[in-house]
Amino acid sequence: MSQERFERLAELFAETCALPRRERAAFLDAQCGNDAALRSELEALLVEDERMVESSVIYEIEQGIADEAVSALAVRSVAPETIGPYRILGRLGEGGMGVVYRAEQLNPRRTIALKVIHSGLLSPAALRRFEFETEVLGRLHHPGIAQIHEAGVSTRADGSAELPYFAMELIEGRPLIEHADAEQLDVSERLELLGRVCDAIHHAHQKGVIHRDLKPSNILVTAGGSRPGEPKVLDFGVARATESDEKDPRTRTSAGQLIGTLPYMSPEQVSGDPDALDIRCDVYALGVVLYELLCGELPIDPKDTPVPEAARRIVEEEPMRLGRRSTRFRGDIETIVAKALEKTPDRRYASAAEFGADLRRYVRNEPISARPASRSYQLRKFVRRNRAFVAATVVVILSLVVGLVAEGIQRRKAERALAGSDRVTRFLTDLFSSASPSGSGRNVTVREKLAGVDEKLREFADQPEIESRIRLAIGETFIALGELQLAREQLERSIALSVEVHGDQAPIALHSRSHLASVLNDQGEHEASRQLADETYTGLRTQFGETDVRTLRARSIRAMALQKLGRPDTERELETVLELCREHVGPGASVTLIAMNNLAVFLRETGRFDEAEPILREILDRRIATRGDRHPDTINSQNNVGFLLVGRQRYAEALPYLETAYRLGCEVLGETHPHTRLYGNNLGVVYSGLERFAEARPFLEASVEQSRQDFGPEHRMTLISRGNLAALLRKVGEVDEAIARFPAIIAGLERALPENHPALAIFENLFGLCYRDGRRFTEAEPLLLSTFETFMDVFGPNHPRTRDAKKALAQLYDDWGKPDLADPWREPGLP
Amino acid sequence: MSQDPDQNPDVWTPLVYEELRRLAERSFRQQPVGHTLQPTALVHEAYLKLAARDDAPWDDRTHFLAHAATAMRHILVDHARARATEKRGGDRRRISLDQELAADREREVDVLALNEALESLAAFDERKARVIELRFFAGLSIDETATALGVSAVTVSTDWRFARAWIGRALSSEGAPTEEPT
Repeated sequence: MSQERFERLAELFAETCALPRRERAAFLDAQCGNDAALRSELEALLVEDERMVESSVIYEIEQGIADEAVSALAVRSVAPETIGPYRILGRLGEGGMGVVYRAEQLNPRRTIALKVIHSGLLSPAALRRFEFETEVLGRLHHPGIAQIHEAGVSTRADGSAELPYFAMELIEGRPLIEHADAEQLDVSERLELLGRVCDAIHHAHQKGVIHRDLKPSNILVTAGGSRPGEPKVLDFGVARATESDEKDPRTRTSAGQLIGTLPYMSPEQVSGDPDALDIRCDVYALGVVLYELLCGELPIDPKDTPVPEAARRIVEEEPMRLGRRSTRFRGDIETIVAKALEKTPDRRYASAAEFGADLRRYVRNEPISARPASRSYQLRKFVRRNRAFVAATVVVILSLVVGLVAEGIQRRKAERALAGSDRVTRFLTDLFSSASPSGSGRNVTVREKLAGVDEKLREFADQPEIESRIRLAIGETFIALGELQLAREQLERSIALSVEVHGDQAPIALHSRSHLASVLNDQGEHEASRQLADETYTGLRTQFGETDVRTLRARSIRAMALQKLGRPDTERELETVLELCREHVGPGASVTLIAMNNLAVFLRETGRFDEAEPILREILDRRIATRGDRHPDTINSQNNVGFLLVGRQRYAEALPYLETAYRLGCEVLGETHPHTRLYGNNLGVVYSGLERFAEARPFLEASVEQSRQDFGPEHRMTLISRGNLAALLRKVGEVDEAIARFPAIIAGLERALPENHPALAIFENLFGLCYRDGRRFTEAEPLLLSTFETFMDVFGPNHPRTRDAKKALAQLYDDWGKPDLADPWREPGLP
Repeated sequence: MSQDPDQNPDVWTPLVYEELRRLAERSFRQQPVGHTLQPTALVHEAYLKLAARDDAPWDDRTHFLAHAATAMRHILVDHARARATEKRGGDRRRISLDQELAADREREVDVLALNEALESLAAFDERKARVIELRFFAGLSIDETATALGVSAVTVSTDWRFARAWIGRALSSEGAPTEEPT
């Protein structure tokens, strides 16, 4: 480019930038004329300009330069000729803590690695400790540990300052993960390799040395020499030996160094007193290394996170279970890793040896010692994970309780009520604040607190109306936690108390009843739910009128129960409720969205997918907009859209919705929450539909087991899960097993589902397919014929299910050797 | 490329360099948790330390910062070259010392590419390159840059906008657009 041309470019660039965007094209046309090259240069620069204005590119560059400067300034650029008794041969690496040289020792004559610590990092007291600690390190002798030959303090070449150094065995090798990937080690080989690392770490622990800075780059695997493939742990105890006087381990490292180290630091390391650390911080780090070695990801990746935020996540956030990174890690491996990664040291393996032993048991197919976390422990973890969610629930509850107290009590009792509401607020605040992980009672959880609530409520023995309100609040919390039975107990007692005090029609009693009706419905007791919702609705309507939000909510719950019961008048009722909600509460209100959802569920269950789909999508959009992605209702909506698409057999479209629902369900609600399990079940169905059977099976099996526990073997949820699993068995070739299972499932569904529910026909059809695949044609024929009729009625002739049922019949007769009977069932235009 | 050709950069660069290093080491020890060392803050602090020197080759803070920006750029380029040389050595031996310091950084800037882009820009318009240098390597504001260069803030703004687009293009594509297609 000529100077003249450059100047023209700069000039035009400035002029164009000064113009409003819409005038730019015309200006460029006029100025560049036929000079396409000039124009493309300008346009490229303008694109870059846009990027600079709109994004943080400049900031990124500035920060990148800052990082470079940190690195550059922390390193001496000139290697000295000798350090102590060693002759420097070259530089091997550098970092925030110092420089590593390749050096020659004269007596004995050998090549070593010499790690020199920046003198600026050490105070005189720390230097003394450095000398002491390095004596201990010299006593470590293990084939899995890079031997420290000597540590010392020298003066710089110019005699200006002391320069502490380690002389170490020079390891020719690759970092652990790089080695494992390059050698394409399989899972067993990786576990075995880490088992040997555990041995080395255990040796050091027995000598009283904690590593404290374990990470894959500190574990090299030897490449050549007499024993290739040998893991060697480097830098043992260096972290301790070079520690500064400050108590907080974070202060001694530069930010850059910390970022490399942080993911491997245990919660007690990032938050606690370094003197309180024990060998279990190394067990944790080994757990992180194993996690990364197996799936290539860090359990908690601090990338893009400021250091304090990253530290908080290490303390609070549960890592994604290994089995969710890849299904092949489900079961024992996942359990082993989870145990090493426990937040509380007491729950981890007590030693590296125990950890290594479990790895070897797994490799040898022996039972492992680690146990999956108990359900109550998982709930505790859920509360810790979801502090924000629980806190929000508490806020809602507090305002609700206070509101009810103010509204529900007669004027002459107002003063007493006010005092009572203060006590309630304090009571609940105390109850929940001690569950906060940042508080002192770190392990006291919401669940435990709530479990002990009966005792505490004695404080309110003289004020049943207050006790009633607290129990209502606690019941609501349990609903949010998915603990339906516990919620039910609290709500029932709340109702009994308020009826006792204020009579049957007290607002609080009605409010609790409305929640209870909803719980009953979720528990599958639809008739009881309907009756209770009906009473509540009638009571609320009398007191507050037809269009009050409370009345509408109760009516909506009643409609939901009607729908589950398969009542003929359901649809009209659902539409009426929805219209009233839209008109009197607003189109985006929570109660309106629930009413829409109820209608959509009804439409879906009667096969009217076309009508249901836009409603469900609208709900999802509205919830994302008003509540965000992670609200439980939004997650539920993701599931509902996905599940609808499953019904339409549009599995590929359903997949992202259900994956999102399941992932966020695990994160926000916890894996054991009934909703999460439902999403998992649906996801399993989608995987089946996509013929990804290996991925589907664990979800479906887990789903059957959980439903059985939660609802009993004859509940419709359990039966549907069992039906899905049986269908999967057919797909993977276990036809006889599927045939054996279906009769009980179908008999159960006949009892559990309302008449004409399409699920029944769907499973009967699958049963028929099993018979056909098993060449039991006489048994297959009536099932396939009758279900085809049902599909024609429910879904219509063009629905994929109906067409599949038709094709299934054609194939039945072909397989049977009756092609003439098959002909009428063939798709037109197909042979 | 310096605005004061009578000053030999070799005289003051090591001085500024040493001061920056000293301050950096101290910062490593005293840095509170989660605070990234800010080189521009160091540059400003170095000025406070060095300003008192009688033999200082600068008249005021802005003048010093203009020198410091060049010093910082030299430091980074030297460092990046040294590291590139090490990598090219192809040595398979690894020592753990926090290699991830360099490798894991998401926002890594290719200092050598940045330097090349600056040189290509300086070949056409030295002032525009200097604006980038002052802002990136010493953290000068638009006004400070204007004072250091003895031009108006408007001129600096115009230069800045063009120069950063030029640099951005050079860093995000295969190189600075120096060849004119025929």
